Amino acid sequence: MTGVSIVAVIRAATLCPNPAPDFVFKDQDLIGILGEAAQLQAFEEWTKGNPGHSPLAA
Amino acid sequence: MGIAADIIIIVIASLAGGLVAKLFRQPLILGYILGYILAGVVIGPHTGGIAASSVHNIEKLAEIGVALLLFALGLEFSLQELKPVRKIALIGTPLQIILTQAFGFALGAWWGLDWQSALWFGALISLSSTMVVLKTLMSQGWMGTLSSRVMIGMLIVQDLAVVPMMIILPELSHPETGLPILALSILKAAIFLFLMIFLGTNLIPRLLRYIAGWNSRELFLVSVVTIGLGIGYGTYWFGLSFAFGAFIAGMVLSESDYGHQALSEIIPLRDIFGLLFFSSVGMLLDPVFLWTHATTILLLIVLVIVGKGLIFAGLSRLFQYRNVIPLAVGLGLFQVGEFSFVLARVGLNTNSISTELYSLVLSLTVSTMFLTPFLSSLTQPIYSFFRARAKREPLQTINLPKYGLLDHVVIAGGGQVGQNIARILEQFDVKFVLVEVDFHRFEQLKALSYPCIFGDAGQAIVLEASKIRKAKLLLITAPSALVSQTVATHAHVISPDLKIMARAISIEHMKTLHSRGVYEVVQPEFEASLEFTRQALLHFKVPPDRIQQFMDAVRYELYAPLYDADSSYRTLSQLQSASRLLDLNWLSLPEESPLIGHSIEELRIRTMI
Repeated sequence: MTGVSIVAVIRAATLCPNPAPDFVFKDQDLIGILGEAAQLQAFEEWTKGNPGHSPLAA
Repeated sequence: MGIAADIIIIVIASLAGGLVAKLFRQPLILGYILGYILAGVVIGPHTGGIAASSVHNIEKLAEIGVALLLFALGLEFSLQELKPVRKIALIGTPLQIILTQAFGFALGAWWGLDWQSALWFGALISLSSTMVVLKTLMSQGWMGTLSSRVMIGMLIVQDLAVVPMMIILPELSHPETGLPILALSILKAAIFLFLMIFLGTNLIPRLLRYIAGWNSRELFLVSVVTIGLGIGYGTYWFGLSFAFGAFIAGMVLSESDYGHQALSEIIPLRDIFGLLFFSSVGMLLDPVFLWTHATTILLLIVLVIVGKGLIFAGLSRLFQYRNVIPLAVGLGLFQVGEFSFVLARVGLNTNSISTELYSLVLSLTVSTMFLTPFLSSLTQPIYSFFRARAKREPLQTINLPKYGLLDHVVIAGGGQVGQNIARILEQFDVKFVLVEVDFHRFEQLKALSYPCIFGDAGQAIVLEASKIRKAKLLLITAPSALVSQTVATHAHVISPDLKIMARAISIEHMKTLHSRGVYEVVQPEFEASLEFTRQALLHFKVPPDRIQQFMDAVRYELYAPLYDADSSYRTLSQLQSASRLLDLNWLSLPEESPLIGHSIEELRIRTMI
């Protein structure tokens, strides 16, 4: 819950533009995101598994 | 102060000489040599005014200069470069030396020399100048072409030939006792080479690694000099030449991991002692002699250029090199090289040649070196001229697709810009054809297996061969205003609807291009400066969108004259940069990310808290 938009995902060198809501993430996915700087940072922290450090959570 | 004062006078005079040479816009390395020689003439004993008092002592110091020149040459020596052209280098060069020797012998006999001096003369003119040729090739952008490889290969073998010449030639003066001495010298050289190859290549790199381990730059330098000059002194003591040992020491060192570092340490020392050598070369030159024999010398210069050039061109042809290569090699290697100075000095010191012959060879060397950049630059025009005359020859096309060209990109100019574009287009599977007029570059493109046409894109027939009517785009990358205008004009006539992009040299050029129907231009220097600024600003954490805005403003300002009439430009440029403004971020999911295995819907990423 960060506010960023997922525009595309690159999986195994294939581009999947505008992934559907039921798109399930996998290890090594490259995710293309749009958003404000703070939102982007929050999302990045989340992917690393530490949402507690995100400015939005605080 | 004695010799110290002399050295100071020489250095000051050489600096002045170097500056004079620079004024004449000679390629730098060559210019310096000429400047130093000139300085030597001025402060030499043959002219009045300030003079070095102990020429003899300077000559002794100059010996170190020669040894260091050969030492550095050995360090730069690379067998790898010989591989692709080994036939002409290893067989052709000895042939060339023999042929030039014979030619020089004939010239010497005509000049009235005795047979020994005539042989010396032949040997002296048989060598070409590595320094001058390398510098010329670099400034003409010909490095890497097949002609340049042939030239460098032959030069390396010539440089190697200096060494046996320095041993053999002095023995000519006493032919009765000479033969056994010669045999003995060759035997000694063979023993020395054997020792160096089997002991030196093992011992010296190990020693150098040990010294490098001390981590002292100064000790490293002293050790390198000790190895170079020490081995040289060893060979001298052994009855061979000082320079020969230094050369072999350099070659052995070049094989070690520290060869490059040794070379870079030794270069300043080589340059200073080289300065002493080249100015001492000048000191022995007698300007009065040159003046009184001006006509003969001029005639000799012309004869040597023509004769030596023809020998090189003929040999290249004999070794199956075609097209521009024989011409390029002939016009590249005709000069007499710097090692003739070294060899001539050996001749003078062993009383094998007279001071007249020495002055003659010196003036011949200096003037032919001086003419090299100029004559070599004539290669392309002469070649084009003869190609244009031989009209029947079909247009040379390489790697063109068999099924023909359609919706392709025509790239006029296969230089660096053209080649980069080609490489990227190839990755995107966009069909293209390069048009290049310089044969050296055409060879490069051929080697890269790009589809290309050899010809002047400014000629309608060449453009037709590139199927310009069916093309989607024409990119003119040639860095010359005249060329790009001609190409644009012709292309516009043949195919009025074709989109053309061109490289602009200046704002005025941009306007001219616009009037010829070129609506998109690239000004490389300007684009490079923008990219520099963009990357620099990114380092200062300026947001990418701010940078882009700024870039657009600057671009708009520069390219404005082109679009004055076109008010829609601003909207267009804003649209163009929109994709760059959308600051899309890419993130790789780490291995243990909590997102893995969940869907976007489940995670409610878009939802704000």
